[in-house]
Amino acid sequence: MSKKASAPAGQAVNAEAWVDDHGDFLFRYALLRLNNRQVAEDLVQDTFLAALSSIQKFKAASSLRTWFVSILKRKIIDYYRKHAHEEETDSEGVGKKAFGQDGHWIEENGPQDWGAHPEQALNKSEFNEILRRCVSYLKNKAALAFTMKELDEMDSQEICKELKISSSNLWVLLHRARARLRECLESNWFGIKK
Amino acid sequence: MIKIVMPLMDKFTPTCEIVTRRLSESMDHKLPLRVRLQVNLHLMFCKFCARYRDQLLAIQKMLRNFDPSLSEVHLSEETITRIKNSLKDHNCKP
Repeated sequence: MSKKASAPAGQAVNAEAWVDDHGDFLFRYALLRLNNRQVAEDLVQDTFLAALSSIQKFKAASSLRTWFVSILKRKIIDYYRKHAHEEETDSEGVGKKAFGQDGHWIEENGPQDWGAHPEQALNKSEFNEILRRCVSYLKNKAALAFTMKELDEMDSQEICKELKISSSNLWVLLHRARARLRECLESNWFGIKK
Repeated sequence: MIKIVMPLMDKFTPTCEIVTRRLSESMDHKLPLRVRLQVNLHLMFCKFCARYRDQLLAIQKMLRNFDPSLSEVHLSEETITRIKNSLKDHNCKP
């Protein structure tokens, strides 16, 4: 028999249904930003527990999912802040060498032709998986900055405030993230398919 | 043609390495006019950097239209049970 907590409106809350309805969504959200299954699972669990504890604060006007995401977002940032010092040093040597000594593209490693409408690759589920994986390969700090900017569409100043970095740090992180992501997509999709 | 253009390009525009950095920055904040002009001049002659710019824009478009529900990633049954149990326990607390 499932237990229920009471919601502000006096309606019974079945917290287990939350897991069925929102578990996968929240897990994907966390995994994309943290690239660590165990941590992502833990944070999803923490999110549901936190939500259950503060169910009284939930205003029925906004959706449950939006509320869960806001809790999870906060937990992801807190996790990053706590573990920032454990961050691996960014290995610039990974991947093909893009530029020669003179700062120009090395001919064989220069960006290839992706065709007229590369965004249409999204129509293929295979591609979605590759995009997801390429984003998840980004390192923690770069991954967070990048997903905040491009997926959550947060303002640069806001991101700097949350991650406690300067704007020039942010530009560097975003540049590296974009360069890596571009290279990953080219190696795994656009460079192969014609 | 390349032999004439490349040295000119080197003299008046930044290197490809710098240009790729500026292209990324231009997506986050407005570049000073002088820098923008130099970058645009470089893009006229450098097919790789021109592609790089198009590709960064394409990636941005893709991420805006990215649908996470199409993902093959799921919580395992084990994890779902574990989370549900922890919620039940929580409810049992006085």
